[in-house]
Amino acid sequence: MVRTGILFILLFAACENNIIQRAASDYFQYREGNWWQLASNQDTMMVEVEAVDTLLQIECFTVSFGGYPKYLLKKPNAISQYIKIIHNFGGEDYTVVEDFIKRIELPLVNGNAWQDSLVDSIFISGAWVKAKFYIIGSISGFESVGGYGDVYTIAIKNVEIVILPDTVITDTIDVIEAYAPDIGLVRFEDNDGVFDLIDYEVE
Amino acid sequence: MTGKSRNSMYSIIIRSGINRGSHFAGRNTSTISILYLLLRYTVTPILRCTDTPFLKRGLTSQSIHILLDMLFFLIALSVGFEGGYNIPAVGFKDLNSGVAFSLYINRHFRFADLCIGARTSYFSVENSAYSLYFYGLSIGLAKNSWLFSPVIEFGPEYARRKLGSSKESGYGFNYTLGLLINVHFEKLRFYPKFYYEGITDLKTHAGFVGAKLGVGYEF
Repeated sequence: MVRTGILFILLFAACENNIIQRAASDYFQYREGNWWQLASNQDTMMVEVEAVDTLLQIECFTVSFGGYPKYLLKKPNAISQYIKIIHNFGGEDYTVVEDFIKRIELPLVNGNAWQDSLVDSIFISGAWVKAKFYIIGSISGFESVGGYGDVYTIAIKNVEIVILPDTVITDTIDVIEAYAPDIGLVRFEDNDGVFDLIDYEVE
Repeated sequence: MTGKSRNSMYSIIIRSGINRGSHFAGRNTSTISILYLLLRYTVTPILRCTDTPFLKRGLTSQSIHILLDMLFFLIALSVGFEGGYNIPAVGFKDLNSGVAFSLYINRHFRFADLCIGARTSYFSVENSAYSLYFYGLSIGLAKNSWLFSPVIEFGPEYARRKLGSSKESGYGFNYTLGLLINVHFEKLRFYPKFYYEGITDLKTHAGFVGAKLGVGYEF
């Protein structure tokens, strides 16, 4: 009986399917002062959570990705990102789109895919300027990484389209991010390369 | 199985039978007592003839003894149902409260009541497409004759997470520590149950505090 119990526990421990870890952990440690240092073969990147800011009367975190701020809002069902598309005409800036968009759907579940979009237009000097921003995201998998736990890999495609009377400007950015439970960002991949976590501090 | 261990199994059955008789004495359980005595003094002696070809071909005397013991269990038990709420206490920060149900059979032993049950619980978050289910089996101990009884339960748990059409599942280990307040009304037993329910996959521990209302019926 004791042997059966021990065998059961060993089999259970060998399963490596940490469902409780994935269900109970916080993968997005957005608290002021938290930081992650990532490095590629050629460069390093610092991701820092800065002071809370208020945009559109909503409190959100300013997260600096290598000096470029992103304004992120963490809700139980999503990590949302503040998007503002400005069109300059005649030396003056006009805001075409301004809102929060769902960046990552929560909770993280393997295989989940989502998309969200913002569309708006503005009439400037006798012509319509239309802008669209959309995000297509998916969780491409998770793997158990020693020291980190079950790490989710998320692919995010950001597309910004500005339609002017005579032209269409499209800007696409593909990123792959990996998040570890109760740590946060451990891997980041974009056109500049692959960055892996080398140091971090989370509270 | 050696003769010695077989004899010890008989003695366990006999001892538990005596205990069972004393537990149900004065509880109007004559039907159970008669059934038990019939099984004890008719089937059990037959099973001692382990050389019977039928037994060799099919069930061994040991497995029949186990089945018989399960039958004894089933005819001398109480059954019950519990339902209540769980609130995340450790981990699961984004979960709302959940509902939990369990069904069990209960059998009195010498010093405590042994409870074997199946349970399920369901949780949701603000994302209405997400759901988290737990399904588990449990074995537990309590003292139903006390007004205030501690309760301990543990068992394997199957967890399933679902978001839209995406699913994840896995196994965990569940344990419960709590307190029962037993109120007896003839053969019925009502009890509120307050508990902490922990769940782990041996990597991460999480848990809920909860309250259930249960009702049991003693046959």
